Amino acid sequence: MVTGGEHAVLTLEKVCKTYGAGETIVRALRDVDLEVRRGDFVAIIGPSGSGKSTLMNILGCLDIPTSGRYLFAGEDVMRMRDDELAHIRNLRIGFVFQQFHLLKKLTAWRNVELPLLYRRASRRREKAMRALEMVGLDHRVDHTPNQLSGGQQQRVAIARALVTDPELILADEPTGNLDTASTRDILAILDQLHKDGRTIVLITHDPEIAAVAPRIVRISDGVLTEESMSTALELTGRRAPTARPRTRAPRRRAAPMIVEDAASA
Amino acid sequence: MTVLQTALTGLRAVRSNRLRSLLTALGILIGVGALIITVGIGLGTRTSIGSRISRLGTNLITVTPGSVTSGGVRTGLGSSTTLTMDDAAALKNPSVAPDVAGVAPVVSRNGAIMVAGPVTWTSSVTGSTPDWLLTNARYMDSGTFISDDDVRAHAQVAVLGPTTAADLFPGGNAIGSLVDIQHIPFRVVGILQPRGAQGLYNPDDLAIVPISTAQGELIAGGSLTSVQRILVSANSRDAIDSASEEVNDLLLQTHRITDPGQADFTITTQASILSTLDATSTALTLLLAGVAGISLLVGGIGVMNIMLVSVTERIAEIGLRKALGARRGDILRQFLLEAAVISAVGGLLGVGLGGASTFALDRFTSLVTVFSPPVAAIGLLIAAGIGLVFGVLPALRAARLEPIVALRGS
Repeated sequence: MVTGGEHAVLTLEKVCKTYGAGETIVRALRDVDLEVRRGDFVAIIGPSGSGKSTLMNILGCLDIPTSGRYLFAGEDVMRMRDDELAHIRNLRIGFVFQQFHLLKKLTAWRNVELPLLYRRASRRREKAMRALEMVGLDHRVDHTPNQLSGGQQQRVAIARALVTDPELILADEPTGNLDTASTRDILAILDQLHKDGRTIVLITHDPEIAAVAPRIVRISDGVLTEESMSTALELTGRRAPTARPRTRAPRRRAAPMIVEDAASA
Repeated sequence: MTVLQTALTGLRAVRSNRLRSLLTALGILIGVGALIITVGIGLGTRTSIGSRISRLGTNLITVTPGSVTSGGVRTGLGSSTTLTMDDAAALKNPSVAPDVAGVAPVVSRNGAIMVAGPVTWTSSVTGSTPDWLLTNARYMDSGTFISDDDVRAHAQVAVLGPTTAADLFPGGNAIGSLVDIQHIPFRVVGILQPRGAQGLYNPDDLAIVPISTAQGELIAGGSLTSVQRILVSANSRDAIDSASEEVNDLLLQTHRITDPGQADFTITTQASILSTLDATSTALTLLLAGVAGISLLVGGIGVMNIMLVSVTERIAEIGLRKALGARRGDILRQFLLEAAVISAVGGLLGVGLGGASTFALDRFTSLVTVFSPPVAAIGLLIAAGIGLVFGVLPALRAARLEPIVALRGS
């Protein structure tokens, strides 16, 4: 999995996305250039209405740019048919949503299994179990979402994102619905995944959350600007020094896979 | 997703909405049930008509007087007295009518009062000749039938139907006893074998006397020559058409009628009556099946309605599945199968209901019904098919949802 980041997973060149036409036209993205390399952990930060949701949809192959170029691992996404996009979403991207988006009637492992069903994978339970183990939930595999806390649900969602071993993990406000303890857990898991060599794009409005990522990109009115890491650190440092994930990094390294149960916290 | 996994997903969705699924399936259930019951009744009716054809003796040709057709309306059937004993005698000539096996002229009256000792009974009395047995395909149970000699001699002898005999002579000593019919004494010489009641008409409740005696003594205002109808039996079932043609030609000739359209008699075969009955019951069955079909259609629309609601409710689920890599085809199949599962469950319950009703009707009512497994299988297929057909629109709607729109829908 660790490739040294020589190859770009995502390349966006002058990507524009507009909605509507004429006087009511909305330019959600304007000439966005972005490259994410293998092993990168990038936070995209911006207030609501800045175009970050649009960017997330395009990065996740859920939507198509109006103009520009979008290459996913060198392949031109804009030329792909619906089913090919579905294939990329299934196999090469793992989604983590703010709302968790778990199916209420399925148990944790059945939820994790879902992406595997759409590619007719074998040994699905085994793979789902391994993914749940990675997020420290192997003791709750048979619980349904409403028997789990918010933090646990999001960990199930992360396991679901990991189960296909994707090239990119796309997390859209993953901590938006969580309390501080659970937020800490989820960020710790993302940090660990990054250390394991995964490519992660984290989208958030919260600079403190964004600070977990080594690289921060700011989006505002559809325009993307690269921020230096120091700026980001200053920002978060001033507001809430204790929330900086860096300060707890050694502890996580000591026990990378054991994440405290958010429900008991 | 494999078909099995899709079916499991569909089943899970059906199970998690049990009441709604059941109500939706109810429309299909009623449709399939109604289909099986109506087809069962139709098949049963046809079977009973078939057995009636063989019981009545399909070789029977009935000649009735009258029938002047004017402007397409047949008038005066059976009311005139154009048929005579001479007509009957002429038809018996094998050189003129080679396909005719027996000829029986008939007069009869209903409501004849019969008295045997202390018992009084009202029944119909028929005057005829020995060929009456052959033409009606009846057989003697005991004693003898009336003979040609009896007819010639105006003998006061009578043959009783089994019902009449049992009612007049509860002791069973009918043969040789006397019975007063309309105050005229007759000696009982024989008893017919029972045939079995057919609806309101009981062919076992009657008395048969020589036609000459009936004409002279029992029919008020009757003449000794005119008859009410002539029963003719053909040599075989295949000879019915040629026999009725011979009868027609001969009667036209003896009645000196040149234009067949002006015939003063009508020829009816049992087969033609029964085929009319058959056609009527077929039309009735088709009508009922049509009603069943309409209720299936309504059931299908119900399935579509509920599936559309289900798609709307599960927009977030559809969006998520798409984000996780479900293709349009996967979503389409998922909802199609769900609709088919609901309909098939309804169809299965409908087959159960229809089958049970068919047996119950056959057992506890006078209707003859037949449960047909192929029809049940067809009903099931139709039910699942309806689910598929009416599931297409909702499933397409689900499949076409854009994942981002769908995800936002929660």
